[in-house]
Amino acid sequence: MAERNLAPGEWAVLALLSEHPAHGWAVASQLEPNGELGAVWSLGRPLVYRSIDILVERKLIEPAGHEPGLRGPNRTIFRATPAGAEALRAWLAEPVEHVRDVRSLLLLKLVFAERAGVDPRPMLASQHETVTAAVTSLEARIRSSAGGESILLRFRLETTRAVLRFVDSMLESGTELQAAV
Amino acid sequence: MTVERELAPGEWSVLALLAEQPGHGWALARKMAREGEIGRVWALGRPLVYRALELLEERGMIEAAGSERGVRGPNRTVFRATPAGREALAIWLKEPVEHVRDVRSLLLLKLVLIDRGGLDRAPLLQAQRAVVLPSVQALEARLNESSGSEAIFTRFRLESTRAVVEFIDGLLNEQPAGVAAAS
Repeated sequence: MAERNLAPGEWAVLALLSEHPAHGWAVASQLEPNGELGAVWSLGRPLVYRSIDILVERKLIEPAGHEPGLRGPNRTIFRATPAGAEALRAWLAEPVEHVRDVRSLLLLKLVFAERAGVDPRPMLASQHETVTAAVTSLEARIRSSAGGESILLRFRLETTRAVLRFVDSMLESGTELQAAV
Repeated sequence: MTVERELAPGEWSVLALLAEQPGHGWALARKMAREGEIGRVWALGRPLVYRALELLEERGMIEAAGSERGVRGPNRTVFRATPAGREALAIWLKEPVEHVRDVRSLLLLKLVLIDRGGLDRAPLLQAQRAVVLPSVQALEARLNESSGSEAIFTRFRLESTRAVVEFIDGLLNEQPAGVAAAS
């Protein structure tokens, strides 16, 4: 049966639980707008709990004990399963398909790769290829466009070139980033 | 007299379309629909187009200029821009967008409207360049002081902001032949 791909927020929860086991409350705090990861990806508390349910259903995470709550019921602690860790590794190694998703997905992957101490360069090298193809295709479309259409395409071209510069500068600084971890 | 609120981008768009040529609400709503000529940059739903017409008329920026028989249903009022409306529009079209995050929507909208109106886009582009350059410099400074995920994020914002400057410079360096080709 074909399952839908995990949403970015679900990947973020899986990535956090791969770093170390935690309960939903702690994961949600990191994904608050002001939390550790909120600048890259924020997720409301109810969505964090829903993501946990989905990840459990798919056996990417599993309960790993309880922690007494300060008030109220005990909290379940979750940890990534070996299958979850493997799925995450594969996802981190995969470039983002659409340039419009770079702002969210690519940044998310880079941040988690860095936190996990994974070398992002192989992924960035494939990302360089897909973005270069997008630049070439936009350049061609601009040559045969005029007026308002051409203004919009030019803007898309420049933002796509910006993504390419970003990818390339991350590739160059990869070694230095690794050293900084 | 109460202070009037600034027009919203969709309302400016309706005014700009009427400055191009008189029209009725129905035709305007089609151009402002998501897949329409302007809607691709800035969409406005039909009820909001009619509300924009009321507001613009109230402010004396457009006026009724006759009516056209509807295919079915009642006659449609045709509106046109007044001289005061045109003057206000010309000023707005030259004002740069304040925040870089609004460039994708608002600056592109102004440029498309300027292009359709056959106006000179250089004043807007020059002013916008002056607004964006300090952001580039501020981000360059921040990048030097940041590390880890903060650095990744700042680097991305820096390149996106540089893209705006590149975009502006590209249009400024272009021969204005594109304007004539547009119609």
